[in-house]
This record gives sequence, C-alpha cells and structure tokens, in this order.
Amino acid sequence: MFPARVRVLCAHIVLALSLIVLSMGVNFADSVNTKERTVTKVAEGVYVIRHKDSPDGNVNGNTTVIIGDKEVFVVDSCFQLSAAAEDIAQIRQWTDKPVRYLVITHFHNDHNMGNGLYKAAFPAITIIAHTDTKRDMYRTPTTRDRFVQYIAVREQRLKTGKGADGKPLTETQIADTAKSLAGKKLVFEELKNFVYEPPSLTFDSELNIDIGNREVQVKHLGRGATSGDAIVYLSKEKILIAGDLVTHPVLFTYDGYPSEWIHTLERLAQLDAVTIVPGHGEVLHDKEFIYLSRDLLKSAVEQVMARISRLTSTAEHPSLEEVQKGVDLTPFRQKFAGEDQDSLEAFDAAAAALVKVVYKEAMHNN
Amino acid sequence: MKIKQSRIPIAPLTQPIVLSFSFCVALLFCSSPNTLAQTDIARMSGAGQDIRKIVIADGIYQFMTMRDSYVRQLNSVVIVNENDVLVFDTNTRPSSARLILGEIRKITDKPVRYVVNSHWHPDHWSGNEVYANAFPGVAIIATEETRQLMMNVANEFPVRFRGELSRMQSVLAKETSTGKQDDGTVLTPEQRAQDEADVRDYGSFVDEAVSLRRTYPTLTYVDKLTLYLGGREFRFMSVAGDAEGTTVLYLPKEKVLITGDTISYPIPYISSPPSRHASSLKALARLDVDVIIPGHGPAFRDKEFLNLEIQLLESVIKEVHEALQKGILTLDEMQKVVTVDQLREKFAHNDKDLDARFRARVKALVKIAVREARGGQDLP
Repeated sequence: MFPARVRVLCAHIVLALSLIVLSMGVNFADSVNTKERTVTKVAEGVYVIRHKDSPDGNVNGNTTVIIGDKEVFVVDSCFQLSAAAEDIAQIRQWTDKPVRYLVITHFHNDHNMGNGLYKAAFPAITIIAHTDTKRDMYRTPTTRDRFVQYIAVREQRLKTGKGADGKPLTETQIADTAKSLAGKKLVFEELKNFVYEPPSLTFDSELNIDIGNREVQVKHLGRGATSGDAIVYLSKEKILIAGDLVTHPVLFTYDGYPSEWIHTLERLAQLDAVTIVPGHGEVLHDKEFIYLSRDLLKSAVEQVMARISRLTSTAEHPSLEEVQKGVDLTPFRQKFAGEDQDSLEAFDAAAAALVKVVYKEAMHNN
Repeated sequence: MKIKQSRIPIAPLTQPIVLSFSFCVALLFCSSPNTLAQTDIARMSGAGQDIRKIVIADGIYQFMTMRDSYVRQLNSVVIVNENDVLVFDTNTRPSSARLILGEIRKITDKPVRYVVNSHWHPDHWSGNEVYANAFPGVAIIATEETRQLMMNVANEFPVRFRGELSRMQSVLAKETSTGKQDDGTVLTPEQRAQDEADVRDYGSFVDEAVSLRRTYPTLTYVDKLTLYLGGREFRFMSVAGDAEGTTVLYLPKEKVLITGDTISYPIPYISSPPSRHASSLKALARLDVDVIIPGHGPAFRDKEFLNLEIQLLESVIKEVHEALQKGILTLDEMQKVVTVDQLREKFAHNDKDLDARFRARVKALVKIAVREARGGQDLP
C-alpha cells in the first residue's frame, strides 16, 4: 500500500470487540490494524514477520524470510527502518548465512523502504523486482520530502488554527492533527537515516533461484494490485507469498488493474499452495480469500461495465458519480471486514476506490 | 593425420571435433578484416590450452582460448564493475577456467558475483565449479531452458568424450603401425609428434571432463532479465542461437554485445530451427553496438559477419523451400542442390580446411532447414 492510510484509532472499540469475541470463544478476526509484531514459522527455515503499524498509523508490509543451505532469500523490506533493522537482527539470530536475495513484490514504499539497510548489512545482496516495479519505485526516494511537507502543513494548521479549507479547526480536529503530527515526527526521525536502494535485477515473467537445496520461484502472473506484482512460490513446501495481490482482511485497490487482476488471481489460485502469505495481514491456509477477492473485483467490473453501457445509451460520457450510483459492493463488506470498525472503514474506502479505478480503466479502453 | 569425423548425433560435441588435428594452426592466423585490434594480448598456457586476453573496453576483457581439446577460439568474457565482476561463459574444463580466474585476480581483487552460461553445450559451462568454489556467493545465470537441457544431457558428456578419445587413439595406433595417414600419404615424424601431442591433450581433457563437479545455474530466467551493477546495465535476452534458450548479453551504454554461439566464427554453428536462429540474429542486428563478441572467434567492430550469418541462414531456407516446391524428395538430392556456393568464399577465405567445414556445415544446415520446412519431418 502506498499512501498513508489515514484512519481514526478507536482503541477502546477494538478492545471491547475483542473482549466480546474472546468471551464467545471465537478466534480473533484479522484487522487492518496491526498492534504487535508477530513471527510465524510456516515451514522449516521459512518465517513470516508481520510488523506492527508505524507510529503515524501507516502500515508496514509483511516480510518473509526463506533460509537455504547456502544463503537467505527475503521477500519485502517493509516501511519503517527500525522494523527492517529488527528483522535483520532477527535473521542473524536464525542463521549466519548471508541474505543474498531480496525480492520487492511491488513499488509501494511500505514494502521497500528497508532496502538500504539490507544492502548495508549484506553488500553482496541482489535486489530483485519486476521491470515495472523498478520503473515505478521513483516515488520511494521522495518519501522523506513528502514527510517534510506533511509535517509543515500540519504545523501550520495548528499554528493558525485553520484547516485545509480555511475554516477554524474543531477541538477534535486539533487533537487528531496533533496526534498524527507526533506520529509523523517519530517516523521522520527514523527516515533521516534512509538510503534509497533500487532493485539491481529486474525480470519480466519468471525466475528460479537456488539458495542451496531450496528452490525459490519468482513470477509475474499479470497485472493486479500494481502493474509489476511479483509473487514468490516454494513448490515443495507449497508456500505462496502473494504480495499485495492479496491483502488481508481488506484488498488494497487504489493502484490496481481490476479487470486484469481477476485473471491474475485465478492464475495465482492455480498454484498448489497450502500456505498463503498476503502482503498485509495474517497467514492464510486456504484459497478462500483469493476467490473472495476475485469475486469482489469481478462484481465491481461487471457492475461498472453494465452501468456504463446503460448510461452511454443516453449520454456519451457518463460521469463517475452517475456510474457510482448504480454500483453496490456492500454485500462484500462484512465478508472482508467482519465487525472491526477500522476494517469496515477501510473496506468502504477501498470499495469506492475500486469503482473509480474500474471506471477509469473502462473509459480509457473506450 | 586426417581423423574422420564420427557421426555422433549430438551436434555441439561433433561440430568442433570435425576439425582435423592440424587445422587449428591455420585458424590461428586466419583473421577477419573487421576484427578488433588486439591491443593488449596476454598469453596463458596450460596443459593443452592457449588462452589470450584482449581488452575490449574499459574493464571489459575477452579471454579467447585459441585451442583446448576439441574447441577453437572459444570466448569467455570478463567484465569488472564498481564492486564486483561478471564472467560470461566458463570454458570447456576447470583448468582453463582456473587460468582465466588467475588473470582476473591480476586485474582486480573484486569478487566474481555473477557467472553467465550462454547455453548448455559443455564448452560454455564446464568451468562453473571454479567460480563457485572461489566465490561461495556467486549467482550463476542462464535461461531455465538451458538449465533443464544441462540436467538432461550432462550425463552423456563423459561417455561421448571417452568414445571420441578411444576413436582418436585407434586412428593414431593405425597410422603409427602402417606409417601412413588415412588419406594414404606418408606419416612424417613431425606429423606423428603432433598427433601424439593432440591425443595426450585430449586425454588430459577427458580426465578432467569425467571428474568435474557439475555446477548448474542457480538463477534462471525465462525471457528477459536486467542487472544493474555499479554504473553498468546488463540486458540478458533469451534467443534461439546454436542452442535453444541461449542467453545473449547486451550492454547498452558500452554498446557491447556478447552473443554466445548465436554468432560463431569462422563457420557458424547452427542447430536450432534455422528460421528461429535467423530471426534472433535479425533482432540483434537492430541493436546499437560498437563491439560484438561471438561465442567463438575474434570480436567484431561491425555487423558484417552477423549479416553474413543471417544471409547464410536465409539463403538456405529460401533455396530449401524452392527445391521442395520443385519436388525434390530425398535429403541426399536436396544437399546436392542447396549448397549456397555463392557464400562459400566469404566464409572459407580460400582455405582448404574451412572450405571443407563450410560444405559439411551447409549439409547439416540443409537437413534441419528441411525438417523445419516440413513441420518437423525429415526427408528420407
């Protein structure tokens, strides 16, 4: 995910819901919020690290570590530099073998800001990405500049007491702005040590890499969440690392290619996998969520296309607003987000973005 | 001594062996007018090897093995980067690769982090173990098709090499006992000494070939791959060269193209479907290049030989099609009709041995062109 996902933290609501769920004896439902760093061993020598969210509320992508007899292979280097540094320290506890390969699943900076730390720790490392991902990563080195700008704007608002619209800020708005500013500043401190490290190896369709009695496949199955999504697959262990083609519990649709994404997910589901590591969220053990994601995309594409063709019989260029009116993705709402308030909000935003992206895709093709 | 070529079905092994024992000497002095001036030549000699270092550009070195067992003018290219070294093709036996590695160490103390195998034929990857042992983190790059072919055919190599050695030994024994060469001419003491040396050289090669540790590519790709190392960009492309799934390497800034046996000099090796090989060459002809380093032969400063190889392939394809449409129904007849004599001098340069090799190569090329033209079916 690229843009900071701005969300209101409703800790007490989450806590209350968790207690209810716990008292009912049901497993925790996954949430778009991640409060703890967790490490899951999914096979011998294969670990998934789920990072807690940054202090500014931004998310960190999952990192997967695959240890071979000769060397180590890592998937994604997350956003927060302290988190990436913690991962590297953790890897060194697991093994004394060097990280030889780092695959970046896509260009969003919450998956690749840590590249420089890996390069510094393992100078012989080869950083791998799809050709389009390397092209689109030009935004990553501007992250720090965007923080500077973000902080300056918020400080100005607090100083003047006026919002972006020029109206006076309410008490709540002041508190929220101050809180988000404090979080941003914490992350910005870390970013002072940021070193941009672009991929040093790009591919178009497929790579097979032997890290010592362990074969790692890297594939581009078509466009999806971005134009250069790479997935990583361990065929023996039946582990599939999906990047943001799959994000749990809510799909990140903002930069997607929905009509192609449907087919990419279908190709993804063809792979024999019992463990699926999404770009964000918990490790999955079946393909149900892949199919659910495909169904959401399919429904959005079908509804938008139907709406456009109905509207074009009367108007030449139907507006986004007119198209939106006839599209309803709420049947998917709870299937993705469950009861978690933040997840529900994230779903609504992602669904709206999805309709917009499908609309753009359709109008562009016309 | 003229040792007759044994008809071993695997092309790449037999093709180099068609060289007569005395042929290589002629080849050494047969230079093409458009080759690079060899400004900095170092010679290294091992058991039977004669290897030369040619500076192509800043940090780019061509190591040409003039002769080593059955190969001639075989290239291994070394590129020194800001932090590391890349080696393209690793020769026909470990001791040859070790000679080259020794030279690399004199040039730089940077580690070899990338080795490339252009294709599966054994003269392009049999030194892999040398680099893997010296640099444990080395990535060995090839196409996935190449890796599969290596794993599928590598077990045959020692058998074929041993067979060739015993054939050579029996020819030598025969000419020694009769005092005559195969063609009936008298075996001179000089020729005999040369033939004995050649058999010894081949024997030492076979000893190495049967005992080497097969080291397969560790990083394979399917269509394209690009490496960015220091200020250099390396574009790898999968093409149909002498072998299917061949890697060619292009450095767009330096305008250097390294082709593996997609281009080979003086007589091209051809075993892929000819039209696929021709279209690969045409794609290469569109690249902006200053230097072309072929799989075998000196580096070229222009596209003359590349275009000549395209012309050879296209002429044979065209003439085979015409002959088929006229109703020629046997391979024998086809090979008599399609001889592309108009191109022979351009490849053979009035050299008797090259002339013979060209004729033999065209015959083989006609056979695969017929097969391709007839949808995979040979003529009787």
